[in-house]
Amino acid sequence: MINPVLLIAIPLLAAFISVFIQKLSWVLLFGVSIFTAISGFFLQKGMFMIGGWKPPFGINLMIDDYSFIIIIVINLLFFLTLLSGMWELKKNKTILMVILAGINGLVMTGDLFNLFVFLEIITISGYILAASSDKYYSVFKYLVLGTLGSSLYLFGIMVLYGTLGTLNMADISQQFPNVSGSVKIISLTFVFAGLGVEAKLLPFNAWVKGIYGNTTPLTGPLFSTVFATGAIAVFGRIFGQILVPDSTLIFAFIALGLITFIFAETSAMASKKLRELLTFSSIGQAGLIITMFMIGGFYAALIQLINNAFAKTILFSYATKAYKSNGDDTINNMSGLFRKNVMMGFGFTVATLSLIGLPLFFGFYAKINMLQSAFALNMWIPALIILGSIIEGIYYIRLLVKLWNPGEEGQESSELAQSQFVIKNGFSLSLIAVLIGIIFVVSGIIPDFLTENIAKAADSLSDAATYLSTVLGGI
Amino acid sequence: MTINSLIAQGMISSLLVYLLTKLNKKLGAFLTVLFSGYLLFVIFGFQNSAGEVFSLIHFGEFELTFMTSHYAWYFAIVLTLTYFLVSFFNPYWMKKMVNPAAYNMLFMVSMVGTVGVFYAKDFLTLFIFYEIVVWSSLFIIPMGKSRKTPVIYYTISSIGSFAMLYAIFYLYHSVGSFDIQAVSEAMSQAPNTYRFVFFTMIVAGLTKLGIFPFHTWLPAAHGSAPHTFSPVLSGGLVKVGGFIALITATVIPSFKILAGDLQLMGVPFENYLIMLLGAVSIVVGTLMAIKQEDAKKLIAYSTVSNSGYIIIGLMLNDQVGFAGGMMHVFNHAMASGAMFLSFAAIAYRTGTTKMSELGGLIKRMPLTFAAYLIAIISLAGIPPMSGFASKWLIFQGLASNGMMFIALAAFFGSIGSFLYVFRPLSAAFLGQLSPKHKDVKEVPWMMQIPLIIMSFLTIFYGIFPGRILAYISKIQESVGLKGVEIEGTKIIAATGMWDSLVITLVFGGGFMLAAILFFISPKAKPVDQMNTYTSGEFIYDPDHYHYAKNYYATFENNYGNKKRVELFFDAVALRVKEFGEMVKTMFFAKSVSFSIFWIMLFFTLVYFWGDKV
Amino acid sequence: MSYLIGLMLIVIAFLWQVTLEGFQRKVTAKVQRRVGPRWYQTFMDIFKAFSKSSISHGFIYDFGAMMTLGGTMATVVFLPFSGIVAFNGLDNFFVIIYLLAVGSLGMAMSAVGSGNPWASIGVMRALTQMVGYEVPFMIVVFGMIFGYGTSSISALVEVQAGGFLNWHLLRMPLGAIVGFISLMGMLAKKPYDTPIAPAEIASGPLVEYGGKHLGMLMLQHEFAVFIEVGLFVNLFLGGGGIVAYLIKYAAVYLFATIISAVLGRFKIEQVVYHFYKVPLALSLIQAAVVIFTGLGVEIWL
Repeated sequence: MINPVLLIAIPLLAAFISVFIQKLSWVLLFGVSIFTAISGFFLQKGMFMIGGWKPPFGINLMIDDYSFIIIIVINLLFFLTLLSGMWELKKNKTILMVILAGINGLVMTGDLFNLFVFLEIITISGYILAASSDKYYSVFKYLVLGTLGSSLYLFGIMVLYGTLGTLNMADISQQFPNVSGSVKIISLTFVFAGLGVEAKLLPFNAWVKGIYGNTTPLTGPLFSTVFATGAIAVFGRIFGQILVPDSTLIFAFIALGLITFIFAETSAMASKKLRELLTFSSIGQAGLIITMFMIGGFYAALIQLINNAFAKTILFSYATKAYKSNGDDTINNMSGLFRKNVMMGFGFTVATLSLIGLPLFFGFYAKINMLQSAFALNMWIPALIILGSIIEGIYYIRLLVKLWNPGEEGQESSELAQSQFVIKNGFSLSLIAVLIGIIFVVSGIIPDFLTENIAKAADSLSDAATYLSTVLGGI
Repeated sequence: MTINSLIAQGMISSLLVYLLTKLNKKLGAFLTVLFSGYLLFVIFGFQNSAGEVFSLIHFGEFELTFMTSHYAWYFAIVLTLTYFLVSFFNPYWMKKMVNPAAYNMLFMVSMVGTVGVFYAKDFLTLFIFYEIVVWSSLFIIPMGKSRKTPVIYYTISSIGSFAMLYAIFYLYHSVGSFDIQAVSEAMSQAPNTYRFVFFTMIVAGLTKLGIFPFHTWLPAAHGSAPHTFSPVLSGGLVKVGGFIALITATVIPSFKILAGDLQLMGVPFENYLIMLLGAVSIVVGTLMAIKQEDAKKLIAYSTVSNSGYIIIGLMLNDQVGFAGGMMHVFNHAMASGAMFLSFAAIAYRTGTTKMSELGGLIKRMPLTFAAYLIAIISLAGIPPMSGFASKWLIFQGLASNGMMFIALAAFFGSIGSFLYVFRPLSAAFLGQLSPKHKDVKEVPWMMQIPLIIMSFLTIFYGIFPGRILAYISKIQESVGLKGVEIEGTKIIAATGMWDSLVITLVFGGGFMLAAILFFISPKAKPVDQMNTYTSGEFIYDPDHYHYAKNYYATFENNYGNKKRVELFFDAVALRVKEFGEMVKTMFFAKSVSFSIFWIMLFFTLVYFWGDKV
Repeated sequence: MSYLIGLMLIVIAFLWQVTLEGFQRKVTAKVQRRVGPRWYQTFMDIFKAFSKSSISHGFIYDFGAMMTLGGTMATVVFLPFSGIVAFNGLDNFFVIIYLLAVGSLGMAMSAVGSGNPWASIGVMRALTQMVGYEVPFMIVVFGMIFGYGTSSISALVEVQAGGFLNWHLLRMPLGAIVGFISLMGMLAKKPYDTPIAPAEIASGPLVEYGGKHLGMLMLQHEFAVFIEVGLFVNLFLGGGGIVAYLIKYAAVYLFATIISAVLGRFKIEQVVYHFYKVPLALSLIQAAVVIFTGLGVEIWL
């Protein structure tokens, strides 16, 4: 059993060392990543006090089933990201280790202010990484909005602190229902908006297009899977368990989630560049998953979160590699590219079909669970989810068909019309693609082997009482 | 052999086929023939099985199960037969295919998928296999002529399948079960729920069948799919939609559940509305088929029209019309399969399916011609081929209910079908043989096999339609309808009867008489194809002397040339894209100020009206 | 036995219709102030054609000719002739309509098989015209079938028994008008002789025929006329005994002849347009009246 504090401390320590010993940083990064990826499975569950102060007075880390599974997923994703982006690491190794520490802390922390700190750590690292793509204006936008988001979040928790006198999540969740309505609205909307910036909810996410749309093989998967998963998981934690909105306000949030989903999917449909398309798809998925968290479908939300994260790893890695190798990612110029690298094509296809939610792939299980929990609420939400899925399916299928089959319109498909594009340094991605592809297929046929822990995680999220007693039980 | 292990075997051997095709292209293709034959053989053994339950796997908290039934067998045998017969063409097309391994694998997956659809005991299983069929067939289509049409196919198909998914979960929410039997029992108490489910679920059937306004994918996809896959799409996969309609309207007995609703011409208005859509698709399909230049597109539009007959028959839910609709499933599978296959054969030898580039092929490909001829006689509903039996039954069903507007469409489609089926016959097989096709040969013997079998079945069941109708009457009884009445070779409806054998014999007699007259008369002198009455002109070029282009131009002029439904869908797609662009400019603008505006707006809204919520 | 009756029907049809064809030519001539041929001229034409030498354009050309004659003769067998039904209960309306199509298909195939584009154009016109006239006709009969609950023609004849007041001509006057217009179309009489328009497309489908092929097609034409006029007599004029039937038959046929003798020819698109404008509307009104009010079936005098 591994103490969760190590998951934050060791990456930070390694980052510190790597500043001094540049040559070792490569080894350190991979070592740390492998360590966290493996140790995620052996994480000790329960509450950990930092500095010996008992909650609600001190800061604590909380490993329940929910954060446990998120930690595993995030650290695995981080490792996969490193693998697929290992030619892009350059000078970013230290910052990557900081990100790893930050994202682990973000998921595990049990304190709202501590969460803010970790959030700042990863967003600032995010600015630095994003700046490596030379699109400074986009980074500037990210900076402005990210700062705005952090301020809004900070303001929200300030209101809470002023009212309740505590920032400990468990403590707040216990007292939150008794807070007056206007304070609830103010604090909730500020926290919502603040997190919405990172979680890519619609009116707050203007930075995403510039950042995601110009990613490299490293930052693409990193932002779209590791960051996105972390941000959405925190979102789920806070609005699913800690600051549960009233039934009326929640509909406003659900509406925003659904608007994000459908609007972003239509934007993706109108996109001609692969990375841009995937960007909007990521936004859409974020909207969908947050909607699921809001309506209480934690199980479905988690499955879709994992499904989306692993699928996007392949999709973004491939898209960014294609751009990196050819300087272009216009879909029309890529026709028949999969014929040159069938393994990546397989992984990409499976990931895509899983994302759309077609049967025989894991995503279908996510979809039926989503519909099931959406129907428990009312009839309109599932209808909108289905509408979004139709749009999503259309542009992904258009993409797949194009990428598999070279050929002029009106002529038989043939190798002659194949794209001039190539994928360089694709070996690690091929392996990842095949691996994830097989996992998606197997878990699409027998979902049980993945879902057992997810179900536990969802239960722990909806079971606030256990959370409280674990954290505050000592008092 | 059980259904569940059959499905598992199919899925595994599709992988095997993939690998073997990578090794040797022909080997893999022959394996598809072998396996589809095996599947046909095994399915055939389930002829009299009903109510046997097989469990496939636990899918999360759900269980996927199969159950045998008569209607499932009927559809499964039609589909596997179509797949089996078409698979004979596969070995010859491997060289021309861009990705033969994937083709063979997807061919198998879609075949196994259809079996899964038909034998599903619960809606979840049905939906899973339905979607498997959709995506597996989807990826075959772009190997043909177009990369756009699979998207059209997927779009329309997913509109249907997601509507069905919605209905399924709506049912699950209100009934608490996916099981078709349980749902159908629960629905008899809840006609209001069912009314909604009926319309949402049947959309899947309509999209797959290509019923107006969802017909646009058929000509697009069937017309541009690989030549060997079009017959499967048209003859086979379209029928999956028929099956969904059957489940929605008959297996869940709509006629009983909705008996309290407004009845139009003897059926609930819900069924009547669907029939009206079927009627419109008959007319649209016929009119559009008449003016196609490409034979494959023409046959695809004819499928639209024939799907209309199927849905009309099924929605009648009576003794006669329903049997006609069911029988039409088989007839159309054989007829359109044979038509597509004979044009695949032509494309194999000449490389084109454009009718204006062909002509006079009867002299070079007589067997293909014969297969095509028999198929179109059946498709046009002319005795003594099997197509007449189903059309006759549908007409009788319509007549006994007095549905004159639907009958108008049915009659129009039936007479109109003479026009469009004759056009390829005339333009491709008859008329002047083009010099560039002088050395064309008949297709290899293996490609002849399916043509011969399809023709044989069409004739055989034309003479003895009772053989099929007897089974259909079993189906009817199993779903609570009165079985169609057969007496020997006589088929009896409430409004009349006919005897297929007598008609065949009389026709045979008439033909003999004519033949005798012909042969006792002085022998005719054979002349060259160019040796005709030319109004005194000197004719030297057979290509110019062949009437094939704009065949029915004069008729087409009467109804214009706008594809209004396609235009509408295009407009919708354009609007969606424009909306997407608008979202991009409004929320993801280059300037960050837009975003600040939205955030401010959000907070303004919250603080102005937040206290209200 | 049934088969013998059928054979007899074929012989009767041949003798009667070919004779009447001669009279028809005579009548047309009288209307146009000519002398016209003798009444047995058509017999002579047919026998002459069979004795002459001919050319063949290949297998389908011969086969189609046999198929068209065979199919049409087979149809004659199923049509009730003044109460004589060869196969009891099998005289189904749809069977007759579609069996007749076998003949049309055979002729179309044979004609196009000759490789002459005039023939193709003629066939195209014939098929187009068919779409025009069949649909209104079938809609009218559809109303009858619903009204009486039977699609057997002899049964539809029986319900008209008992005086001319029971004829569908009076019971369903709109339907009878449609039936007659459609009959003109079926017979390819002017103004509906577009498919064979001799001066435009060199007799259309018949352009290549000579000798025995032509003879067979002439025979087929006579049988087809026998069926088409017979359908009208049975469905709208109540059939009747042999004499009555033949008189009604002659009256209808000659009436059609007289009309056609003074009319010009439609263009093919006009034909379809024309049929879908008035007759189709009338037939729908008629069918609606029968189906929704019962007027003409249940409600009558």
